Amino acid sequence: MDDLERQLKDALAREEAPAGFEARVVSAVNQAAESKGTGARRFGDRPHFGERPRWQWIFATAAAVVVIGVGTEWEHHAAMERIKMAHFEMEQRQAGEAAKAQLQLALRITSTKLEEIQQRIGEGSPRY
Amino acid sequence: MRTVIVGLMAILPMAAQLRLPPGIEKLADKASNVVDITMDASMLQLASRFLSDKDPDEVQAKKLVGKLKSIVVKNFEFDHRGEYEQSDLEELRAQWRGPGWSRIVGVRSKKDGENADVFLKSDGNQVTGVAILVAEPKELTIVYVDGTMNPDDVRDLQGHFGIPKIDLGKGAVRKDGAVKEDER
Repeated sequence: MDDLERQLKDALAREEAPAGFEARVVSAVNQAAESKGTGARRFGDRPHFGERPRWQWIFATAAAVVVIGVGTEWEHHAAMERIKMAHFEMEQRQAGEAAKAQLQLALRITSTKLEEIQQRIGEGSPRY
Repeated sequence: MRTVIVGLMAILPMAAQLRLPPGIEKLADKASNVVDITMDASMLQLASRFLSDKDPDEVQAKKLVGKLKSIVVKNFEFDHRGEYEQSDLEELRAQWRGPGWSRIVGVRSKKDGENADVFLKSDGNQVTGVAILVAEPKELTIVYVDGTMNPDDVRDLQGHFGIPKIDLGKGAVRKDGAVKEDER
């Protein structure tokens, strides 16, 4: 290897970073970010609450509205169904009580007439 | 004041069972008081569900009604005599002289002008129908019960709902289920 090649090899050989190099670089980056204003993000930090994209806020708001709306509608529907069921049961009971009253009246009339017939038989009315 | 009590109607099922002469159908217009009850099997079942399991009267009624197909009760009260035709009554009686029917009681009173007939329909084993016709000068009552009735069930109704013991004399239903027409 000639002298030129040896010089190049020495120049491109890997060297360990001096102590404190990484810290100096991070500090320099953070200083640069701070100099740009409060909206800038520091190296290694997560996005701030206020830094989230607008579309995420819109989506979250819409989702909340939908959930609340669906929940309200469901409760309303369930309440209406309960009212309908109660009304139906009341109608069924009324119809049943009316049918019972009709039946009792029919039996009472039948029994009254049979009793009259029996009295006639007992009185000796002609039977044939 | 004219009072009309109209029961629950079920026309179609009844058409084949009880044929009321046109003259009888029109009596409602002439009567001062009318009770018109027609209950088919579904209405009887509905009524039965609301009969008490604790009241002895209603327990017996439930037992009887459970096997019935229909009950028809028509009662007309008039202010005057002669509002209905005897020919209409004969047409009714003719229906209950057909196959399976037997008249077990017939009462005639010339003094009061009151006549009564009780008919039973039997298939040989059980009573399958009862018809009662009571014709008074100012009142007409028609009762028609269609369905299976065990004579024991009918007897068990005695004393309930004001139903007296039914002493049908020679017209009583024998234990073997056959029905004898009154021979007196």
